[in-house]
Amino acid sequence: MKKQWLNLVLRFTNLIYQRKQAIRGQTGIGVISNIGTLVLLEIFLGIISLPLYLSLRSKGVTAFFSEKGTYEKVSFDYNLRRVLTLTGVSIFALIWAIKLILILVLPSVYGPMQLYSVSDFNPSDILSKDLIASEIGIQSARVLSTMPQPKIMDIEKKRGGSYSFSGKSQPNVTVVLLLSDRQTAVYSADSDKNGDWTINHDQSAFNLKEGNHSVIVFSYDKRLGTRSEAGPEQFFKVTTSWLDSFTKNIDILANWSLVIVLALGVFLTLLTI
Amino acid sequence: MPKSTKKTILLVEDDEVLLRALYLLFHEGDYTIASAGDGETALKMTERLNPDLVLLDLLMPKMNGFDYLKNMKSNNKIKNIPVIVLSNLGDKNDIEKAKDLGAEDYFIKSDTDLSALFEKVKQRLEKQIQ
Repeated sequence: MKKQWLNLVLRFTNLIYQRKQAIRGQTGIGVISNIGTLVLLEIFLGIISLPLYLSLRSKGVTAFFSEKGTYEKVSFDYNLRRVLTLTGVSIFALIWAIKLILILVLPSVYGPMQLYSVSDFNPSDILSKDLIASEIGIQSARVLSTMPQPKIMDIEKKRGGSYSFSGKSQPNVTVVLLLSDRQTAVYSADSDKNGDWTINHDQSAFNLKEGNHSVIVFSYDKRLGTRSEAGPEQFFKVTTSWLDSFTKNIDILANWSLVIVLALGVFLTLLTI
Repeated sequence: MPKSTKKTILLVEDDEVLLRALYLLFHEGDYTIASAGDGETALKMTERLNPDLVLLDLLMPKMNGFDYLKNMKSNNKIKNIPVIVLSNLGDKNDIEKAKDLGAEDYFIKSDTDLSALFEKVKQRLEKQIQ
């Protein structure tokens, strides 16, 4: 196993040499392609040779010097290019290791966790709100006070920062949801025969800022052209915990570390050609 | 102080990663290992250390492996030290040139299995004992 690994190191040093030779005799777009391959080879060699640096760091090489009649350590001359490449790879690996640990230990952070807490439900008079609905039918529907109002039962944060609102209403009606930030988003969905409904909010299409947001729902019956009175205006507070910030930063670092390592690899490779 | 009975190998290789890999390989054989990263240093170390075997790379800074062989083989004090070449150069002319200059064996890096190289070095050093 050990010799196979050392053979792999030998193969990669040879591949790097061959690639450099190819670049020397080339012009045009082929050079860019070969430099890209060279950078990847250097990074891979950096990764597989890391144990060589770790295991041999403190040992040194002892040799007998016949002139002096003694044993002395012959130390390696550290190669700057390798050290920098390995440092870059180590930083990259460390950041990704932290990210992976977070995913394993705290799957909810990257999974369907309710990062945003829901609090302070306050009733409010829908009539005080200036409703903007996109569908003419909803706007012109007759308000029927006897029609039951739908209720929001749960708000769940989905992977990728989107939200899912779910609740109960009359069976087989359209539930309209008004979600306010600086503007108001209007969503609608049909309830099933049990009165269950779900509305998905895509954060990339309509970004909810940190702070308080109101949600209002009412039922709409397309067939009769009627709608219920709006349910109580419910507020939920969008907060960002330290864990959110940390994981967000780790995510950004993980992505940027790849760019930095590649840029470092290109730079160092160009220096050695 | 008498010289140890351990055999000494001089590794001449300018690629530090590979040098470390070779060190790790021969460390298992209980050899005393010295290293040089260029031909000039290698020549000085060969004179000072009088190693039992030299494992030589050919493409190196300051002095290449061919010049090292020329200089070494013209020095009576060290000319009998066996040299095995481990190089990226796989051209027939390069192989013949190295052998003409006194290299005992020639390994091309792209085709070399390090186990085979280790065995070759081991056999050559055992031959010296006999």
